[in-house]
Amino acid sequence: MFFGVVVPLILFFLALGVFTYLLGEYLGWSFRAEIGVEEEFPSAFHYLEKYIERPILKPIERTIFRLAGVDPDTSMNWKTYLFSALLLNFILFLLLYLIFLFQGGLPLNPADIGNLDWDLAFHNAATFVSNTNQQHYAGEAQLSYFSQLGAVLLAMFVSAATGMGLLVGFAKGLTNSEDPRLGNFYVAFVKSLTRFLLPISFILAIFLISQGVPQTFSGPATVTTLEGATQTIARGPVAVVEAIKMWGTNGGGFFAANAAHPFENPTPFTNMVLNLALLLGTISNFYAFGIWVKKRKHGLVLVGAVSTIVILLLLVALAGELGGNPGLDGLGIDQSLGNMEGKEVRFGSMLSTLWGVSTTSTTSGSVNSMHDSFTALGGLALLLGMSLNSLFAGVGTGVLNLLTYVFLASFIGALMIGRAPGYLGKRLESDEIKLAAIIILLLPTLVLFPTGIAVVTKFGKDAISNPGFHGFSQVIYEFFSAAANNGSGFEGLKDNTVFYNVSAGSVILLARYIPLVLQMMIADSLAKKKIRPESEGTLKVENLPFLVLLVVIMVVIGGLVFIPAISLGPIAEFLSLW
Amino acid sequence: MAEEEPKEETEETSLPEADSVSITKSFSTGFRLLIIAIALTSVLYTLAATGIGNLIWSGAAGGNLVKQEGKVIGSKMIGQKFTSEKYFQPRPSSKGYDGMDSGSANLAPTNDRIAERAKSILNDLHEEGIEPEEVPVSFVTESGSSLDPHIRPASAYLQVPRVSRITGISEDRLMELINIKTEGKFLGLYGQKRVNLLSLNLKVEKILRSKSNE
Repeated sequence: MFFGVVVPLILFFLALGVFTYLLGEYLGWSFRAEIGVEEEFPSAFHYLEKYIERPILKPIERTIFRLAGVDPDTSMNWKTYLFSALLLNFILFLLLYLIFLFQGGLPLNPADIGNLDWDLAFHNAATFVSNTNQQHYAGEAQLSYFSQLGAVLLAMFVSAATGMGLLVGFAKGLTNSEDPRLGNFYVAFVKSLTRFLLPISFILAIFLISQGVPQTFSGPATVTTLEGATQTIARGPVAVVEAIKMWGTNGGGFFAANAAHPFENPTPFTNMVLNLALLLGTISNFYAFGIWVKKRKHGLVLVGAVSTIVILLLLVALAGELGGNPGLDGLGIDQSLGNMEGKEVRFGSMLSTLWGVSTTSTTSGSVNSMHDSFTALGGLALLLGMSLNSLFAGVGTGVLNLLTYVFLASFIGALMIGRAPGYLGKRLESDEIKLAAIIILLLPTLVLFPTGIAVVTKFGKDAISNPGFHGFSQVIYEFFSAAANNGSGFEGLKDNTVFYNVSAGSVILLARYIPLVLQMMIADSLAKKKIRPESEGTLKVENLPFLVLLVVIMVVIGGLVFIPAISLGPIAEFLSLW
Repeated sequence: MAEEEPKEETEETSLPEADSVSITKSFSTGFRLLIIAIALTSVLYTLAATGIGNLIWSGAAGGNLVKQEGKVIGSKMIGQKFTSEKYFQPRPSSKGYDGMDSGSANLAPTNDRIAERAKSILNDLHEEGIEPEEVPVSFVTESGSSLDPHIRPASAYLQVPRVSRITGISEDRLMELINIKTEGKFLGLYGQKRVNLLSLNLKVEKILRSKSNE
């Protein structure tokens, strides 16, 4: 137990801490001009500036601005900033929809895959444009290489860069004093690609190929097996998709089995690197946010608060998965490996659980084991991770979601000690708190209403594949995954139907874009306010008490909303074991 | 409470103006940026990684195809169906190790079909004189991909008597093969000890062929 579980996990989280520091500093440095940070950065960044930024990055970015007709000196207010992002996403949505609808006639289709039906094409376009990547498709059987590269891969980059672009504008708003100008969305968007998403994905892709992830344009390989049978093996340009899939908190698998497929995730080594990557793509943003608002310690408090919740969820999930399946107890087999249904031998139950909790506390939604086969406690932890929607969440949007809770915590905390509520020197007033409350109430609305409809209608219930309480969990997981823009699933649910494609697709779009509009409204409202110097009485947001307060607020407000609904699923399933 | 507070003085002071961008301009920039993004990601990034990958690791980039006497017989990464008793057997797979499909049957732990499947495998093993205590749980459960190329060393050990009986290869020799083919944990910490089934069965086949040539 100690050397099998405790030591590896501690080392994993230590590595996560080191990389959070390195990548967080790098990200903070990359956007220092946009936010206007004159802080000190580690001295190694002088070399980066001298040998990489000035001679390579800046000329490339200038060329892109010129070709796209972007004047980088233009500074936008929140409406223009948001409109630029939404319009770009809308054009992308149309492009994706058309590609999926007509992929059969497009090039790069060696396996001769047909067009998608309108409802699956809609769900696919919605899920990829929004960084959700819920899989109602089976990649190897239903997407051509053209769709994988021209639609999926493109959307994985653009959706993550959109999130990052909006975060930069938001952070700018928080540091402005009586100035509604949030900078230029296009500049932040392009820099997200050139500095953050592309270079790191490229390194990851090369690493993955070296470890056995295919990167080829040849079609499926047909072989005669050792026993003389014929086996056709799907392959393709997997490594490039896998890299950005993990780095951009996307999570849409090249194959139906996602990162449980040996071609996506062939060894424990790739598994550990990808698990780090799926967390770092968004954790680094929290650290960088601290740099941008000139409070590195506040960034650490955000990372620490969320990590606390993630580690608690991990312990719950490990208790379930390492304990094995009670249903097999009577057979007398060796269950020391834990619950291995739906899990790969090379990973085992511990790494599968670590990944499961990582992927549901971010918006990644990639899986290296089948969540439907998790024990009741394991499944409970996964659902709770998504129910907060504000743990590490996604690239860019993760910070925005968490800040909604931070505003509430600052507001409630200040009222408790009898001070004027504020955050980073700005007054928090009813406008901001109302908007934050709407954002928080949106998630239960978008999860519980469609779940309610699904469980009382024939087309909703027909999709359920497992008996008893677990069947209900399958449905609520589907809509949690959609509304939290997560994308993982209890995949036994037969969700490629008109009902689930249209309902989940709509939930995904509403859950992605409504909060972004409201969050940018908060940014505008705060940008126009004056920054007041901190006094003795100000509620500090960079110390341990605030960390604890934030955790409590998140658990009480975010988590408890769902307890009645979750009781019908995994909690009832757990209790029925005895 | 907040409503009764006096209005901020910021209401009266004029804030700096943001630059306005016309809607047609936004459309044209959006389109152009998307085309540039396609060029950067779908084309440049993809081709650069493909080029470097295939130059240095051409075997891996093509899917780690395994050859036997010049003929491709599978991929090292992808599990195969083995039904013949002379080979070591894989974990159960609801997709029958179909390389064009993946993902498991997604059975919940409370679904009786898991125990039923386990019982039928244990019955078969019982006929060979193997008791349940020797059987690791992974050998009676399906993997996540249903293409798992590995089994646990213990799952291989319990098949040694059968394979030895059918092939005539001594049990010691087979145990030795399994131990050679066992891969350890990454850094001794992460993942599980495992045996690649295709590699192991290829060895068995090789010994059988050299025997029949003698």
